Amino acid sequence: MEHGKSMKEGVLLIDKLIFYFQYPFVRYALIVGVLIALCSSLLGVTLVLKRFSFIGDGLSHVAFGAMAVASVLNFTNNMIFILPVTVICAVLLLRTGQNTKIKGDAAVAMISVGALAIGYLLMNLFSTGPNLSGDVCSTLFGSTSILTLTKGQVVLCSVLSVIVVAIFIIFYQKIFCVTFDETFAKATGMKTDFYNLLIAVITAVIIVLAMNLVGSLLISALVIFPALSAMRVYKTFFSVTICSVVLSVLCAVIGILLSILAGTPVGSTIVAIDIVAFMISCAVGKVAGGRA
Amino acid sequence: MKNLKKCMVLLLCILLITGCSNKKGTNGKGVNNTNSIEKVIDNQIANEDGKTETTESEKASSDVESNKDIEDTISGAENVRDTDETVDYDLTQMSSDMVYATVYQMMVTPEEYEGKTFRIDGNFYATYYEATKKYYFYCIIQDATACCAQGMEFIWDDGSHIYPDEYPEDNAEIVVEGTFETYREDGDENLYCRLSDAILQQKN
Repeated sequence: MEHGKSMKEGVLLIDKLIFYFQYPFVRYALIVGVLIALCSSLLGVTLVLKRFSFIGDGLSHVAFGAMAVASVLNFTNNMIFILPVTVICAVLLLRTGQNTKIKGDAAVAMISVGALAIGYLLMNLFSTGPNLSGDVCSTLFGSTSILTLTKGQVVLCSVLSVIVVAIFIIFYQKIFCVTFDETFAKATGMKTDFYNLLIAVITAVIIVLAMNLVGSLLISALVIFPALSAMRVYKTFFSVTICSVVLSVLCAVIGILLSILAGTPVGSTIVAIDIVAFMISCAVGKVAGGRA
Repeated sequence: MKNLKKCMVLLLCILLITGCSNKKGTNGKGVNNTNSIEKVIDNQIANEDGKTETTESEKASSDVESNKDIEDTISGAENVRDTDETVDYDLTQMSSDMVYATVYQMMVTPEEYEGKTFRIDGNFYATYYEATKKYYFYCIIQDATACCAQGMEFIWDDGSHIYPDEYPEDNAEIVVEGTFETYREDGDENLYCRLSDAILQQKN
């Protein structure tokens, strides 16, 4: 009897999902969600190993500030302003430690909170929309932004995602070298500055894309959690990267579907699923005894 | 010490999960589209003025019998939801995320939804616009984070019902069913959306 009831509920849920998938914006959300999760997890491993875990947070705040400026300037396509600004900041931040007076984490913290404060101030002073709190909430926490994407945004996101994945595959060996031993790589004649610049640019692109999915305050989770979860189970760079991608995409899909069905905020639901995945990975890692 | 750590982790997880809860009942938050203290004060003053006007109009047109008729009309329409299955988009059967996204799409690409029938639920809200000297009626729909409310304008039946006598109170939970259409006001370039020929039901 109980089994029959749960079967019926399961069928109802599937029916509801099929019904929701008739709407184009739900299909767009899932496509973009998967692409963003894939890209962010690819680079997440590198960023975590290079001790740049917090850079995603800093850059997302920069993207928020840039978005506020773009809104005030009434740009029809915010992306043309947000993307270059975030890329420039990413380059500046990842180059810290090289003849800079303000070092590492201090520079990230300064740019992060500075951009957030200026962004909110500008939005408050020159608010263009009728619902400021809604705009800010939507940008910071993602809210339901992923469900309000246009076809153009989906195409742009797809193109950028393909470029990011292609760059990662083409320069996989170089990124691997720069990630583990930059000094040695430099000594062997590798142009480490160029590859660091490449990582900075890709990071910025992913951050700007991920703003739609989880909002600027939760982007770090999308970058860090899958990588850390994979590191609990696997030990080699390749296997960690593959596991990270699989986990990230899986969590994003489950999170999006769950939030659509339950009516919860998309971004925080995905991050909650990422946290659960991390806990499971920790348990699996302990049971497996850290097999390679 | 280990137990303490486990408890702390558990507490943190509970806090994280509860932090994402869908907080309903923050009525008027979405309606309050203000961004400064000055605007909040202005709104409060405007609300007070509105109340005064309402009281005066109530004195002028107050009729106990007509009020009873109206209550009957609203409650009599309650059965519509159960019997009528002909609407194109029934937002009352969707999750809050889907409702928000659908209403957003209606506002962004209204041409795709024109002529379609909708059933929505939310909070009733009325506002008086000085330029057109008319009252406008909305069904306010909250989203999952309760911060991005959207209002869908509607015209109850043919628009002949008298406000405030025949309408529910502000923030009352309502169900509206009507045909989606766009329109422009005289001398105003903006395109507006609304549900016309709507059936209004007040939830208990």
